[in-house]
Amino acid sequence: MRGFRSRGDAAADFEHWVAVRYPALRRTAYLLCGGDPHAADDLTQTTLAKLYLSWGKVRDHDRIDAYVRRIMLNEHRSSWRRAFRHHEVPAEHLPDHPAPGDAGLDGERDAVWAFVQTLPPKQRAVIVLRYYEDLSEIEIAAALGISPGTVKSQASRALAALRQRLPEHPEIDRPEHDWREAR
Amino acid sequence: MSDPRLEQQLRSSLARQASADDPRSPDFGDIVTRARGIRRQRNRRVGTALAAAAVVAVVVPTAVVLGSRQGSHPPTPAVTPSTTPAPSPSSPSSPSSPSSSGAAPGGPAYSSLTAIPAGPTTTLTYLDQNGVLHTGGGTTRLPGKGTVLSFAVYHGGWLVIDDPSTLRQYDGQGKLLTQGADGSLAVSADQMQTAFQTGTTVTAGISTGMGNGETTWHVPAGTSLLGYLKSQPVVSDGTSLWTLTGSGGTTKLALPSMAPVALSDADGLVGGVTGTPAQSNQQGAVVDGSTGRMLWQNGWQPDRFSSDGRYVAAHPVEDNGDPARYAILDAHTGEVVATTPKLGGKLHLGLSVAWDGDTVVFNAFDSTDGGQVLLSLDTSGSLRRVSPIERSTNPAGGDTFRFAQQP
Repeated sequence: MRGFRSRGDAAADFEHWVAVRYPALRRTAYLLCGGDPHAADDLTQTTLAKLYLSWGKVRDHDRIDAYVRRIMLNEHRSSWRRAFRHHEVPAEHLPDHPAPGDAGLDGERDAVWAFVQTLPPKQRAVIVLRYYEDLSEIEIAAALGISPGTVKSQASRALAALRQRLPEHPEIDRPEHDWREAR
Repeated sequence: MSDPRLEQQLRSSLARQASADDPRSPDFGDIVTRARGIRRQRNRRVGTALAAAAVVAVVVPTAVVLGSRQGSHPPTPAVTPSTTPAPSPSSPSSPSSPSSSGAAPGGPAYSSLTAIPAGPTTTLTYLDQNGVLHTGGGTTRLPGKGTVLSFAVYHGGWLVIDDPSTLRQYDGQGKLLTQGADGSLAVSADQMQTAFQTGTTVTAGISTGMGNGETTWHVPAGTSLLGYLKSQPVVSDGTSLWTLTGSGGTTKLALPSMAPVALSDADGLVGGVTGTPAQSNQQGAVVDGSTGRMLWQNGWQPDRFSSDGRYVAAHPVEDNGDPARYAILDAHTGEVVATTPKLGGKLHLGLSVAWDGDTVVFNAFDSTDGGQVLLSLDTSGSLRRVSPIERSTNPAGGDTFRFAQQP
């Protein structure tokens, strides 16, 4: 390939950082993409390409994770916008049941994960950041470029829908009253 | 009220799914390839340089005078390098390969940046990697932070897009006024209008004005501001164009199957790419933006039209993301007017181009030492260095010099 191939310190730093952080990035991408490994590969590689372009300007290495997360979320948002333009319209309303073949671990079906897969992309991103990355509502709002109130409402709707989806699920206790009413 | 058990179920499920995934190792070659493609797309979208003629007219509170030679390019300096003769014209509407029509015979004309003759320093406004804004004789600082992708004067201050595509508006004292994600910029051919986009909102106003006088449009998600056409801002979703009319409405332009990448506000032309890489049938093309009529199609991909619409800068369509050469084409016929000479294996051309009168300016870098410089190509085929050589701090070899937004 033609191009500038400087193997200086900056490039070595980049490769080292990627080698260390790639598994975690790829796992987050996998969840954001609803378990599609090919989409997750694509999202991760594109995210790293954008980081690569600005690596020489990244001064505060303590904040790289947050910076990369924002790149990934922007790219993820762009990808589902592109899908929207190509008429692969993300579901605005949750289907009654997970789509066949969408869900599942080997053998035992993971009903919670099947539910997460059916969420619209932005709502799924909120759930992944909140319950996988353990970010605060403020941090999620900053990462997604939305208000903390929207983060709260998106998460609330998802949890409410999950609770209704899984009334028969034995390990999930249904609360005595709907928490939405208690807000 | 929270639901700790339900939330714990979510945490467990997500952690289990994530750990069950068995990702491949990172593909560094693919990362670099994608980076180059992204850089190309950004430079198409957010554009390159501000035609400084309008900036001269702008009362910039920082008292910066941005020089320009728009439309009055100085005579060619006496020192001219040995360059490739201009190839014979390609027939309009008939494909021609840059490699066959413009390749330089023999060995490379230049094998180092210092071997390229030095010309007068460009009067274009450009930003160097240290954040210093060069204004054709003076320097100042551009407000903002991070890697700047594009910038323009607006309402006596600045519009600055940084990576990743956040647009910030500053006043003349550098005070941040507004900001938004997914930013893009466009400037009209007469330099009097500037449009900017954040998210799905496009705003256009008088570049030099200090008052409100702005028009706002809400555009579909996924569309980006591409430029001006016939004095109206235009957005694109990558396949279609919509003109934003003065009433806040939109008009879709009828175009042949083509991905639009460049607009000529002055002459109402649309440059783009037909075909797909997968089918190996990509061609550069220019169509009439009013009628949709194809004017020409060949192996040169349009990058940016000159401000008067006579010429278009282009690179070989097969060099997507990594141009080996640039050419000046007649915008209406596709005829090759001049091309850069063949460069040695360690010299590479950058991705953003700007027009300085009838001269194309672009980055070039030497991969042996990371040296970067601005080069100019004029219609006689003369290639010159028009900036000091700097050492790039970007391991990807990105364009060290960023031009202000141009039409």
